This record gives sequence, C-alpha cells and structure tokens, in this order.
Amino acid sequence: MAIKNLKELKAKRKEMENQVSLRNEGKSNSNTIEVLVGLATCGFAVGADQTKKALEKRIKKDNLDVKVVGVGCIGYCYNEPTLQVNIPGKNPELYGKITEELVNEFVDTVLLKQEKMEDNFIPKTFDKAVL
Amino acid sequence: MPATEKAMQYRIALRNCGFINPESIDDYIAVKGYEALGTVLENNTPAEVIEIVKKANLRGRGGGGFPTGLKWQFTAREEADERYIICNADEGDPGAFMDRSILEGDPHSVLEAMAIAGYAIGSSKGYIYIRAEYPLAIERLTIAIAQAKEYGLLGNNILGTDFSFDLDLKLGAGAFVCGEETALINSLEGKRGEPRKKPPFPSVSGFRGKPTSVNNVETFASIPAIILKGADWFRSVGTEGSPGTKVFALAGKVKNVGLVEVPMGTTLRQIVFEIGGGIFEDKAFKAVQTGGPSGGVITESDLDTPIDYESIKEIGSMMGSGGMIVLDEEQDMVELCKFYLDFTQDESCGKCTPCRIGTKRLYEILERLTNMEGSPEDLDILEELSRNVKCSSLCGLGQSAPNPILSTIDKFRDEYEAYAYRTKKTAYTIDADKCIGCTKCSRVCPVSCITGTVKQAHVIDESACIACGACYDACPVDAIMKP
Repeated sequence: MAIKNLKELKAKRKEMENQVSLRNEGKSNSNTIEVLVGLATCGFAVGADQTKKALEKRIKKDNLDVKVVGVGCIGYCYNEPTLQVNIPGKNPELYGKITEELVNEFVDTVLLKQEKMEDNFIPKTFDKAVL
Repeated sequence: MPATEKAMQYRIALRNCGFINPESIDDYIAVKGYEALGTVLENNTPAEVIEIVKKANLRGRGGGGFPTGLKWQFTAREEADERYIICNADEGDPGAFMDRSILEGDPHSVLEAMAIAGYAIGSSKGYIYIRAEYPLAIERLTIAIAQAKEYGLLGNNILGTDFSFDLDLKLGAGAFVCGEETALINSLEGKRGEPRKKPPFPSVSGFRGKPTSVNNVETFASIPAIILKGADWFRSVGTEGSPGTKVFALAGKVKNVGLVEVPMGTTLRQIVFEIGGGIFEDKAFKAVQTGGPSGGVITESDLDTPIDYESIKEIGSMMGSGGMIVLDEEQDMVELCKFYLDFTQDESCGKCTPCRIGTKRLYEILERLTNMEGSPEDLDILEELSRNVKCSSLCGLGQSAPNPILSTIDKFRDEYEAYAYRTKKTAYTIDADKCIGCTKCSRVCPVSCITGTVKQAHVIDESACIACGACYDACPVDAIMKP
C-alpha cells in the first residue's frame, strides 16, 4: 500500500514512537521486554541465529512477554553474539558472547530476575546522531 | 541508553545499525526513514539539495575524499536525456567490512539517499553494484527494494510527486579493480571490468555514455542525516577540512575487534588503545595499516595525529575505505608487503603494462628477499620500480599498489636490509644461563631440533629450526629468544 505524501509518512512514524523510545531509553507504554539480536555476517559466524532460536524457544516454552528482533551489526565484533536488552523502565543494556548455551542463564538472570550478567555485560561506548 | 564517559564514537552512517530490523521498512520509517527524501521532494529544488551537500562538505567515503556535492553538480550540469546514480558496494580491501555492515544493518538508508541523489542530479535510474560475496547484504537489499516499491518510496511518482526513481542490483563477480569507478561502469555494461581513461570522467560520460555519479555506500548512508539535521550540524562534527565521521573496520592484533565510527580528527591512539582496548595479549604495538592494498603503515610516532583525509596522507598512508589492521611486534613488515603485492598483482586487470608487469615484478623481488635470495641492489630496484608503477599506471589500482612498499621501506628499512644483506636471523635460540633443562621445549618442537639432557641447558639446531615459536610459548622461564 503506497504512502501518498510526507504527511502520511510522518503519521506512520508517529505510530511507532513507542518502539523507538523503548530502544533508546527504555520508555514504553507496555510491559513487553524487547531483545535485539545482532544478526549480520559477524553474528551469524558465531551462531547468533542459534542464539535467537534458543531464545524464542525458551520464551515460547515459558510463555514470556518478550519480543525478539533481529537487527544489524551492533559493532562489537569481539563480543558476538551481541544482544541489546530493552526492559521498560530501565536503561537498555548490551550483552556479549551470549551463545546458544548461555541463553537460559541469560533469560533467568537478565530478563526474569532483571539482574546484571557481569561477565557478559558490555559498557556502551558510542553516541549516535538522532534525526 | 547513555554511553559511558569514555565514549568517543559518534555514529552517523551507522546510526541505525543494530537498532532497527533491516528487513522491516516500518522499523526504518520509525527512525524518520524516507523523511529526508520526502522533505527535499516537498521543499527543495534539485539545485538546493546539491547546495546542502556541498555546504556540508561531505567527502567520498570510499577513500578518495572527493566532495560529493561537487560530483553531483558536475553530473547534473551535463546536457543529457538520462543520468545515472550508482552505489559502489564493491568493497574489496582485505580486512574491510564497513559497507557490508551498513547494507546488512540499514539498507533503506542507502536506497533513500540514492533516490535523493537521483532527484538532485535529475536521474530516474540507479544501480547498486555489489560484490556477489555478500549474500546476506544482497538478500536484505532485495527485500528492502521490494518494500520501498510497495510503499511507493521507489518507482513512479514517489510520495505523490512527479519524481520517479527506480533501482536495480547488479552483482559483481569478484574483481578488486571493479571498485574503481570506470571499471565498475564497464562491468555494469556487461564488458570486461577494466578501467577507462579519465577524462572524460563518469560525471560527463559514464554508464552507457551518460552522465553518472558513482558514490560509496557510507557516503550515501550519511546523506539522510545531513538533509534532516542540516549542513551546519554536519560541519560541527569532525574537522574543518573533513567534516563528519568515518567508519573503520578495526581488525588485526587488537583486543576489541569491531566496527567503529568516530568523528574525523580522532587520533589513532584513541581508536587503537581506547576504543580497541589495546594490543591483543598485551604485546607491543608496531603499526597500523590503513587503506588496504593501496595504503601504508602508521607507526608509534604518528599515533597522536588527528586523522582526516589530508593528515593521513602527510604521515605516509591514506584514508582508504576504512580498513584498519593493527600490527603487533611480531609482524614482519616485508612479509606484510608481500601479502599485499600478491593481492594486487593477482587483481591487476592487465590492461596497462606498468600495473600488469610492474606489480608482478615487485612481488617477485619481495619473494626473492623473503627467501633470503635477494641482494642490496634489490632495494634500489624495489623503490625505483615502485615509483614508476605509481606514476605510469592507468587507474587507481596500479597507482596505489606500490604504496605498501614505499611506506614500509621508509619506516622499516632495517627489516628490508636484514633480508637484502641476508643477515636476518630465522631461528630461535636458547639463553643457556636461563635454561633450567625442563625439556618442555624439546617435547613440543615439531621438527625435533632441540637437544639436551634433563636439568642441562638445551640447544636449538638453527639450521633445522622452522621458527614456529612453539618452544617460545612452552618455556616456563623465558629462556628462549626470538629470531
């Protein structure tokens, strides 16, 4: 369905404001947790797709209110598979080297207990242009 | 998510990488995607768009550093019934993955920018020339193009205006020279990927003889941000002569291998030691190789130079597309050069003699040296031939192929001389005073060239040693000395 003009395009963007504010600063009008999985060539090379599958399987099994989204390269190649965790009401956090085997520990610690997984935590080292 | 205090990275081209689902156009629209295109179509004439890009002084991120606005202007001013926009995604430098990451993480930003460029120069057709070795990027671009067409953001009458722009992908078959814009155009036309004589430049006579602007992926990815945030904002980042940011693929012997984007003017020390976390296994830093097979090495003494297009040339290297390979103390610089020349002599298209034969001869001299079969005269021939290939080759490949040699022979002449005078030690030795006779080294030696009895100092047979370093790693008392 074609977007007819700039106004319609901006209206469409407004509908998605919540997703952007959750990813930027953890502000959301729902309780759904979001996990972004870096799925570029670098991620695939170390099994990020397996991590994503394991994550989805666990979420389905326990019926958790978590949405998993594949994204591009987050930039921390030395720390793949890299995940960004967006918990409503908390600052988003980055975790690295979350392999398939670590997924259950990650879900239990970071998503359920909402505690830091110290060994895998990545301090964020970049700012970005917000348009 | 607030960045930590140490943040030195600022992402413009990578702003959406890792933040949006690259296979969802809605995710891109959520971050003001296609609004830059919508804004220029509604508010600006094509000439005004070119003015904005010129004022921002965005320079070609493929490595050349030519002002993008000027390139568009030169293409727009030619009389023609059709013009073309080409995105150069033929990223071929060993160790470089900037463009791939952008295309895999944020393909729509490139599509949007190409449409903006099409509007600016009066083109209705664009091509993305991408190497076939990037299957994931191709898959995501294909999805992105289909989605943009479905939303009417590509195709006829974009966003209800009378501007139409269509895009196609063209896969390169894997020739390094096709990253050179005229060779790329030949390849796009179905001809052999060989460069053309310049002038005429592609802006005058390019694809199918029509005015054509060829721009790099990262250049395009910066465009929507410049349109929406303004030229003054862009100029506030980076340096006076090179505004904005540059994406680097940080690789090699560095702890935090990764994709980084820093404002121009950041020093290499900040990139390697702060963002990169220093040298792998805390070995000593030796050099950074930038610009891939066309570039050179930067040593400790230049680590504090703020990096932009001009300064990096002054210290004997070049910006290149953004590959940055960190080398540690173990790196043999002559071997490094041999690797690059092996690459360029293999990738030389063969059209012009200086490059076809010159790079081959340069490689042979390097091979002779590393085989300990060279002579001191080889160094003079190496330098003279390098200069000749540089000034007489037809295109950028040959003109820059000797750069790794000229740069390393200037900064690490002693290593070349050790080969040329055949004084280079190639075997490990044991310090008899330190050796405790534990036998660990002799047990790991793959060629059994270490002898000695228990609790007595051991000896390495230097003629049999293959310099693998296994004994060095095994020794518990640091008694083994490197060649």
